[in-house]
Amino acid sequence: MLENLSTGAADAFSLSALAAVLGGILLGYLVGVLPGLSRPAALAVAVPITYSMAPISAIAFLVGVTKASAAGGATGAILLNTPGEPSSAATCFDGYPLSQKGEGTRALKVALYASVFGDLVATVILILMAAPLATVALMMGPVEMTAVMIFALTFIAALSGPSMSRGLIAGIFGILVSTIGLDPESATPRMTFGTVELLDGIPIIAATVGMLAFTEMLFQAERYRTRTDRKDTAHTQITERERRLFWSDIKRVAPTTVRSTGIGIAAGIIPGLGPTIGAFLSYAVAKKTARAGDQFGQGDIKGVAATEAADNAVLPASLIPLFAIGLPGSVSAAILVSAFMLHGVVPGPLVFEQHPRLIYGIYVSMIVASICMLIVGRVGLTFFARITRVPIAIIIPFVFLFCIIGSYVERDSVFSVLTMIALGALGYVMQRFGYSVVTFLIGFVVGPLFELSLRQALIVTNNDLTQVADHPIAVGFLIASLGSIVLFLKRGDRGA
Amino acid sequence: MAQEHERIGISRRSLTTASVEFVIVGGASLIFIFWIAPRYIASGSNLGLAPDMLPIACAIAIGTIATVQFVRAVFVPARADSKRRSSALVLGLIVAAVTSCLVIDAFGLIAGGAVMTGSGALLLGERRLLALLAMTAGGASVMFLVVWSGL
Repeated sequence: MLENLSTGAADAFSLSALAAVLGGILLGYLVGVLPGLSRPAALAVAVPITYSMAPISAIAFLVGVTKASAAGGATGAILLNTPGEPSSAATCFDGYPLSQKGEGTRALKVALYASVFGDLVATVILILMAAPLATVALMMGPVEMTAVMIFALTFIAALSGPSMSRGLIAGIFGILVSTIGLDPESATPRMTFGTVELLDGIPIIAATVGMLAFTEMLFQAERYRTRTDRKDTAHTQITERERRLFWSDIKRVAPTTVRSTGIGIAAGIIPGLGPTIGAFLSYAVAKKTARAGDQFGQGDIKGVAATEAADNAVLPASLIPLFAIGLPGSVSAAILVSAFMLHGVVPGPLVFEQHPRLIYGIYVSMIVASICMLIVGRVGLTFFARITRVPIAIIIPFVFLFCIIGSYVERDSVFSVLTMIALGALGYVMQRFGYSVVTFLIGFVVGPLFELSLRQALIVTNNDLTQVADHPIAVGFLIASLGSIVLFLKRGDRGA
Repeated sequence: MAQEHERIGISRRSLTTASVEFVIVGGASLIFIFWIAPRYIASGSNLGLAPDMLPIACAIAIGTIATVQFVRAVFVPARADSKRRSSALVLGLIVAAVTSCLVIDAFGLIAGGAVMTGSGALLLGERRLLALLAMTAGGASVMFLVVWSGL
């Protein structure tokens, strides 16, 4: 491992990789600070920028975007009560009151330091856990892998929205759409409708950009239009009372930060939970374990630390199932899969044998990104605070433009752009009816792997389902899937 | 029946929505199973899994879940979505994106970029000529950078 880390470090410290990390961090901060553009949407739009980059620089760039957007999301939440990211919404609870008290800068500092801490610790956990888990995963056969994927999709479907049934439909629909194109074994065209462009299947970037960024901008535009108060941001001049962070503050916040990092890591590893649930859960736990004198909800730096540490710990932790078994646990991880595949790397347990240098290079880049995030965040604290004032009416048309660019450059064809727009419109309709686009995308990304595993599983079991009983791990996951369906349905399918 | 629905808290609107949803999702599954799959997927004799097996299995699963969901919607109260929507704007933005896509095909990226940002700003309510021109020029500039960088 140390040898791999040192060779990976050599790649990660190359000028191009460092520049990519820095570029990603700057772009990520910009995205995080600007209200309206979420992390997955920004990540989807950023993937095409990496076409001409080397794999290590490309992934480092995207990791930078993801990490910094998570950290940057707190700026709007604290200063304007407008979270740049859904996962930063919980930061508003204490961040905004702090800003109203004239302690905005102090809150921003706590958010930054907690973010970097959560992110760094989760990255170390990723480095320590992914490779051993991949070794275990390699011992699993196609029957077990199929069962694991069924379990993960069920879990994600249950957690991705108010209705489990709609989540399941969305996930299965994602798998169905992923089958468009040539059959991997017989090269039989499937649902190509005589269109040559569809022989390669639905372009993955068009799907992610359309379903995430395009759809989200449609919703933002709708919200902007229906808002009675057309003011883009509410600026009130508040005199800063206290900007510094004292040692006593750090000592007070440290236990909350550590505990929240743990919650964020758990939320990252468990498929479907994601940063928003992680942040809210962490805030709830912090509030529940409050000590005398804590002022949660009225402007307490502990509240800011709790949400930001958890939020930032999620991404590195969500890469653990991705690297170990090839299963994206969150939508950001699913988009990273598309980036990996664009550069000829298929994430999964074999990646440690086939591309050890790249993976360890990514690990080192992630640590570099955390340090860059700290420096950029600290130096640009005031600057980023000013960016929050860019009106949403300017952001929306430009994000649409970036969606078009992103899908166009994937195949240099207008067909990709039209596919992206069609999927964007579909995503809008799906979301209006409560169907999760996140589950759809995860189904779409794991679809080919699921089909391959299912095909191999059927060969192994000789098309006899009773032979699954000979695979106890698979049986365990299938029972867990059924159990989670029953459990979540019992708790109430609120949107059905 | 309607009175019973009112009594258990299901508004007529939410039941209508559930019915429409069921007709759309369930109907689409049936269309897929009986029309799209037989016509557009050639069934082969693959080892393990025929080319049409997974898509059809997915469609059956979707149809089944949609049916279960509809049955539940009849008996379990659901909240109707009462948010104000601006569908005209959404439709307008989709049309603007398609138009800019066609402009890209006919006249190139720079013209398409200008159309997207200009029409987008117009649809979002921007009426100041200078601001509209700035947005249009901004879109064209971004596309110029894309062409120039060879991305």
